[in-house]
Amino acid sequence: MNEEKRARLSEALQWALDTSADPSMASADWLAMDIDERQPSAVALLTDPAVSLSQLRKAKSVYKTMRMVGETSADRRLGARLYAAAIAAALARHGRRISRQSDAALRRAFKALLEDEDIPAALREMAGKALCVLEEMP
Amino acid sequence: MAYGPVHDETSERVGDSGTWATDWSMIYRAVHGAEEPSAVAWDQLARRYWPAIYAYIRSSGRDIHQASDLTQSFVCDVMVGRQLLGSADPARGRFRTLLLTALKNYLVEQHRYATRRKRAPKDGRLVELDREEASAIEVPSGASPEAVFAAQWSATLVRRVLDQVRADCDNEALATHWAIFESRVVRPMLLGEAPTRYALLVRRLGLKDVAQAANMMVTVKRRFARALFEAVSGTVGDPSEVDDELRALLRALERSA
Repeated sequence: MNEEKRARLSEALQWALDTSADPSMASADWLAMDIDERQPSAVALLTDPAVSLSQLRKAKSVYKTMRMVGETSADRRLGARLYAAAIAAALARHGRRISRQSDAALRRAFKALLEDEDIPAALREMAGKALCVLEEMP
Repeated sequence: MAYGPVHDETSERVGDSGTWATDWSMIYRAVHGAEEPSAVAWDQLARRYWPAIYAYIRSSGRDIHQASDLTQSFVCDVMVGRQLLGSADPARGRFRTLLLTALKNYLVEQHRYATRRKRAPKDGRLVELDREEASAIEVPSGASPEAVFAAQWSATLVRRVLDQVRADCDNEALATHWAIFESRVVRPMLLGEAPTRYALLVRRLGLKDVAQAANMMVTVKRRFARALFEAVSGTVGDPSEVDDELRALLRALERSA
């Protein structure tokens, strides 16, 4: 293995090291990095004020799938919360609805996110903002 | 495929459990095992470590032929000769450090080279170094022998983990999952190729959508990360050292480049 390959190897494996910092979020973080490689985590992506609507649609899609096919029940539960967080971010940041779910279903999902103490505070706050936007929508 | 297993990937499976041998468990079997398992364990240990040993010796100023001969004699005299492994104790710390210290001492006492055949294994078999493989190991001129040793150690370990995860994916009907990981992580990492776009992989592999492909890759990433941690765990005496050792190994890859 030559020098260039070793450098690539090191760079390419940083994600594996970051797993140890917060293993429960690792899968979600890797999915976020796939959407935007500059983002270090799912929380960073979903709470970034500059996140685009297109990125949030992608996030909604991957976390929706994670909710269904995640390897563990914890993964699936986290997927459900992040799926709601992506929809909440689109409402809070862009004032746009990226889901066909009813208002009542969205309210339930945002409230569950808001009240889940296992979820990072920044995402729960996003759920609170989205609830406000939802109430003001015609 | 332009890259392949570092070595025979089936040869390091242990017993009926199908688990992979850690360094310390392999050392125990080599030293304390019955004759046949012991010989297999010696062989595995030698194959696992020769690239790092060779890289250190090359980087300390020896030419390819000298380095190949010295690597082989170190394996026979020190590793197989049981001077090193017979007294190795997981409680004493990292196997990488133990091996490097032994190697440094050995090079100071090079006269042992002439007597290596006297200490060959019972069946007279020596681990044959592949000179082609050896000459393919590039030794950066500016780096210290210690840095080169650590970098080669890390690279070999990562390749071994990749072999393991690929075999596990094959065994668990996750070949499509592996194909995604290979296209997006392995080939870019080892061959410098651009990661294949998800949309292309979805079409090529007949998947539902990008979200499915991304989640399938996460499955393999998680397995790789777990296997990497387990592989490093096998080389340290104390589980609390795993994280530090892993970071040290990746730093070694960066510094040598």
